Amino acid sequence: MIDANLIIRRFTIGPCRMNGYLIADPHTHIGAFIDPGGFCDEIAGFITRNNINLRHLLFTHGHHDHIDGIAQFTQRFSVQGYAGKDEVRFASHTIFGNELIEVGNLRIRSLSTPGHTPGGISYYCGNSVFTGDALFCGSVGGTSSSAQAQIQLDHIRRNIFTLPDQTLVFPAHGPVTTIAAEKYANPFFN
Amino acid sequence: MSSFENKANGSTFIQTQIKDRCETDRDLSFWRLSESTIQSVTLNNCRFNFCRSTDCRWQNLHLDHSLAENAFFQNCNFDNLNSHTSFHTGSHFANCQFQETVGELSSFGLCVFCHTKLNNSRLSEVSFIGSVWRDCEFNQGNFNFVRFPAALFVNTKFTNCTLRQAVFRAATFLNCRFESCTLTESVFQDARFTDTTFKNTDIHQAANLEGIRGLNL
Repeated sequence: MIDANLIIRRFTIGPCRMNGYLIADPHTHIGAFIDPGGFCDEIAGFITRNNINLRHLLFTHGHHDHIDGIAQFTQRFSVQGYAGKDEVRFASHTIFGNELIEVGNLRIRSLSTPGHTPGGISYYCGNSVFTGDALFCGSVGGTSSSAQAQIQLDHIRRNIFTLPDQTLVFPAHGPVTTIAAEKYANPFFN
Repeated sequence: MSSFENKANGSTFIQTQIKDRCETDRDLSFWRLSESTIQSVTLNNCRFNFCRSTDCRWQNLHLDHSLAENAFFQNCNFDNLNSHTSFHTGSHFANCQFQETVGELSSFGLCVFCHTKLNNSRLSEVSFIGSVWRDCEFNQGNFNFVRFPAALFVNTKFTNCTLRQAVFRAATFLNCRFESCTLTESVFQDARFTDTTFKNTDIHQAANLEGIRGLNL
């Protein structure tokens, strides 16, 4: 109900307190996990209680805190991985941005958000966008150079800030936010 | 509990007591409440948008993975509000009092607070991005990595607050006061201060004071 068209649940996982998100089609209960940085009983319980058929792992990028749970997920579920180019070895599907990934009846659009890493990807579905370490509440992800920082800002402006203002933003660290709040008040863009 | 449905697909409650409700996966938007008491209500994965509440007492309201956006609260008391991974974006609070609020990973982005007090709040990684605070008081708050980027504070006091890694990047303070607060590793980058005072509070505890204006450091 937080998004009328999909099941969403946040789990804070790993020592870096990363937010991983389980999303699923409320009709077929086919689901995907965004950034499997770890696994915990809370995730297992939610999947069991809600009869989620987990089939996909979606990676925003390949840093360790976002991928450390791959083995634990693959031991339990038959899943396929999706990530940007050269980001995650496990991912058999390479995405570049603007692809549609089918999760049950859901259509998840990939959005190119490089800068924090070269192949950074965000995922947009329903009224929600999952921005990994590209866009945080009031901040942006760290980059290795000012050129990469500019690339990141440009891609966020072009691919994230063009989403509707009321879109819910779920970053990989820190609090949730909205496109309107970030577009009008994030100091890195103003 | 008595209520009647209004035209906006919500419910109207006047001088009503709403008690012990636990709602999951429901849309409870457009509630109108006046002079009512709401006690022990849990909203899990619910929508509670466009709520209008005046002269109400909210006790033990718990929100988890819920939307409570674009609400308006006037002369309301919140005791033990608990907000977890929820959105309160674009809401307005006037003459309200929050007592013992607990929040984690939620957003109050673009909210406006007037003549509002937050007492004994414990907030962790809560966002107040772009919020406006006028004639407000923060008393004995324990805030961890709470974010106020681009917020505007006017005639607002922080007293006996622990602000650990608080983010005030590009915030504006007009005639504000920090008294007996700790600001460990907080960020005031590009913040602007006018007629703002610090008593028993060391702004040098902050991790980032780059680009601030209006203070003689």
